[in-house]
Amino acid sequence: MPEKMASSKQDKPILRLKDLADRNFRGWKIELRTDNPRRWLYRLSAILLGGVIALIAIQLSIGEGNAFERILKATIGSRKGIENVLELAAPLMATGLAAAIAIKLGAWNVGVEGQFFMGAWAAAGIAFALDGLSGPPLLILMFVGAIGAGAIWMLIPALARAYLNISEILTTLMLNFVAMAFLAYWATGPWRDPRSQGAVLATPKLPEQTRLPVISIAGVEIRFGIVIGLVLAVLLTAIFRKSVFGYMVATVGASERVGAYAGIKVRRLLVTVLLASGATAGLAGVTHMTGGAINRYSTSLSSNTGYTGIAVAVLAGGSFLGTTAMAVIIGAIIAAGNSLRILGVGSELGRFGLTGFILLVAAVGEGLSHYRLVRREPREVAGSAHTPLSVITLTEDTNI
Amino acid sequence: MIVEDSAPRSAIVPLMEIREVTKRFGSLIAVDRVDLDIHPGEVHAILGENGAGKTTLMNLLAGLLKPDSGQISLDGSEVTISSPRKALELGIGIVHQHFRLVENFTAAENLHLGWNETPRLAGNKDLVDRTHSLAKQFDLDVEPNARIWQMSVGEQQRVAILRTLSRGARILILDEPTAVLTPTEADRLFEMLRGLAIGSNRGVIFISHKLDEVISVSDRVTVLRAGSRVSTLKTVDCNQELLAKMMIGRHLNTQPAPPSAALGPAVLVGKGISARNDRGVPALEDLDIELRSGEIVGVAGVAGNGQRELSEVLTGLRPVDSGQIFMGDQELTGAYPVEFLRAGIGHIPEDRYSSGLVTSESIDHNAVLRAFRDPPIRRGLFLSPAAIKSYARQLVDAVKISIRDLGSSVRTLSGGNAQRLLTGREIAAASKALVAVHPTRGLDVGAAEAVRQVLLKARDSGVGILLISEDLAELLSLSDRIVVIFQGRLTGEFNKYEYDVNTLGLLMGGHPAEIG
Ligand SMILES: Nc1ncnc2c1ncn2[C@@H]1O[C@H](COP(=O)(O)OP(=O)(O)OP(=O)(O)O)[C@@H](O)[C@H]1O
Ligand SMILES: [Mg+2]
Repeated sequence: MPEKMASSKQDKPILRLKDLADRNFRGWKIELRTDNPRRWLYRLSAILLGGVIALIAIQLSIGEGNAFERILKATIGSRKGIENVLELAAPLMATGLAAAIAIKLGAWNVGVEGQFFMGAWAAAGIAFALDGLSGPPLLILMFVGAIGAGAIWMLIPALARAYLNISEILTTLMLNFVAMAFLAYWATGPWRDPRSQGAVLATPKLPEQTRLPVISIAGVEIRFGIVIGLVLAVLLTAIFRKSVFGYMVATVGASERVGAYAGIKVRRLLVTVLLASGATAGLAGVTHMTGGAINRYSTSLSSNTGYTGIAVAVLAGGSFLGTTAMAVIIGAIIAAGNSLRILGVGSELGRFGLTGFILLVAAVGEGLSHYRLVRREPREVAGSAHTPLSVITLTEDTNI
Repeated sequence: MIVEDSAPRSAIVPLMEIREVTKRFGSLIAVDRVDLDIHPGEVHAILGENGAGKTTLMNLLAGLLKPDSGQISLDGSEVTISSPRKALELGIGIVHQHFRLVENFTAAENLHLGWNETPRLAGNKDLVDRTHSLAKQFDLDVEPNARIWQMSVGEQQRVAILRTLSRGARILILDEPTAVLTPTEADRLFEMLRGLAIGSNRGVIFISHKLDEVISVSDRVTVLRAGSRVSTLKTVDCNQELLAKMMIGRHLNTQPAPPSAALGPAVLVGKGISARNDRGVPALEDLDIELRSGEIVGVAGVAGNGQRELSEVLTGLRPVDSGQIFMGDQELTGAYPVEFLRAGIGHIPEDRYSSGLVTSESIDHNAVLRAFRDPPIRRGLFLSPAAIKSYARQLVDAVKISIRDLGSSVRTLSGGNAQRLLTGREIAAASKALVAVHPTRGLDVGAAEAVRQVLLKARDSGVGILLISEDLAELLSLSDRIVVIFQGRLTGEFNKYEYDVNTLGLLMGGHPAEIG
């Protein structure tokens, strides 16, 4: 009975934000804004607000112990906490950037996870094959290999999208499963470390000279992945904002049709951008393997790092610098979730409950950022700007 | 002496009274204390330059925007129009330029979609019957079973109008309804509007830039300028000159264009071109066209006879099945659009918003859409923001749009100003040839005249211009040569001063004629 419902809705209208817009509240009104240059500020405050509310809820729900104190210590309240957060954030920065590159063109690289693994795989292969080389040349080869492998893993989806108009969402997603099977084969077969056992399959440790340095700033040890993520974000921002390439991406991202009209080779650009996204995911893989705690090729290299990266990029609204910041925030949320395990809050519950709630608040914040609160202008202001057109003069001099 | 006709005469209770309505966008006052009465039974035309605030005012009435101040009353009682749905409940219906119909649905389905009077569990037959009787009730010619994509634009418009009327609209608003219509379709629309209004308790608000249309269809005219109402007059007291003067505040000189001075060598040439449209149906068949430097070739034809495809083939946007395209000696068949651009071919596309402008991007982004590859805008791999700004500023000044912030999005421009931006940009890009489809569509009379002058200037400097238009008067006044297109073929060719309107009309309708 659709019309019944429709008519009852009309009788008792539900109050919507849109209806509130332009209504007056004691000299103030809510106004719809066409654009909002400080949307990131809304996003950030919404996430922080969500975090605070979630914290309070958790504290109230556990019987004893101090959740605040524990979370603070596990995140920004201690040197170890900060190190922990940054370690969790490092791989998310790179995977987030990979997803953000595709988003610039309105495309979705859901295959970050797979490309991440393929990058690590290629790098591990190079390291095993050439372990006689010294650190810097070997690392350079490994990085080049990983970037290439990530890009190649994206090649088929990119070409299928550009030339056959097959959605890249499905193809990239499916290739993730292929990558996982591929990984399992190498980790259990040719490269198996005889000592590894149980659910985690792993190869032997990589040669010691392939470890990326850890940087120490004010006594805080920072993984090299953070440096790579930040440098990459700055570079990408410069390229996409200032370059001819970035201009073309923005145009095609808004409309492929207008892109073609502007003389842009749309298919070629699509392929280029998707490959760049895959390459960045491959880079994320090798960076995490050589710069993280694991230093070997294993199934535990990623804890959904690729998928989480997509969420990070979306939350950051596709901005590159925003993605690095968001990676740190999500890293902190994960660290907080982990720290609650001791208080009897399941890690998964802590993490997903927390993340989900924060995303919800962020979404509300996003909606609110389309509105603003303004003071009603006094009548005189409008009057002074008004220059009446004289009707009489006009009718007189037309003289008909 | 003109008698102001804004005050309601005691005999008539206005359907709608608008008092001191104001709408601001930031510091811009788009609609400034406008008063307007709509009487029952009248067709009320709104005239004004591009950006005068016509669309904004209509959006206020249709509930799409909310006024900052002022009152709107219907049948003497004040109302608040908080949403489009509320507007329809109050009996105010708007037919947009883009009709918002579902392409794959039939007229009957579109009519009943999302309508709370649609009977539950209605079968197709019920919908068709209802559509028939509604069409009859409003005396509109609508074929219930035809799908939207099969219809001409005029037929689609009738469906949109019927949809609005059958939901009880007593005030029917049409924003530039004739911009997309062929002249014959426009005539039918006028007949229909007069039929709807005369002797009924309905009122029609009609926006157009074409002064002859306003004079022939409306009972009263309100002229807006820079957001304010200049005057409201009875149409019988007006003529085109007077209206133009009120609109733009000066006299308009329209003189027929002098013929081409120096005809140069062939620039853009298509030989034996066949191509298909978006649905894969042949749209151009073995068509030959030659455009010479320094001439304007007009393409006359009823919409949908291959004009769009021709313009796209000649600018590299649509592949050909067979045939060749040349620019001078250079063959461009199968080349990327960018090669056409490099060869100096500009293109004013049929649909500015979906093909020629990135509406979500800024004005300066759109200004350099054709020039971003060239220095000084491009420096190596990068773009120079300063050069972009100055290029955009120059362009905007050249086409006389007053814009404070080049960073604001094209979406905030009025329809006509967006067209001006596009036209100016393409004329700058066209060093050898320009394919111009409806270049003055949506422009006010002053701006349209300015664009015609610019086209003539480009021609005199040696650019070859292919002018595709449904405006026969424009074609006749500008073209050095006119070709007629019918079902993807050129069916006639005339030199300046040699054509007569009757033969042209016959050829456009597909009747073979003696070609003299
Ligand atoms: N959403 C918006 N934000 C900011 N400015 C706007 C917006 N919509 C319209 N404007 C501005 O308001 C003014 C009036 O625009 P409007 O579209 O009403 O003009 P118009 O009379 O319909 O012109 P045209 O004949 O070109 O269609 C223009 O200067 C336009 O740029
Ligand atoms: Mg308008």
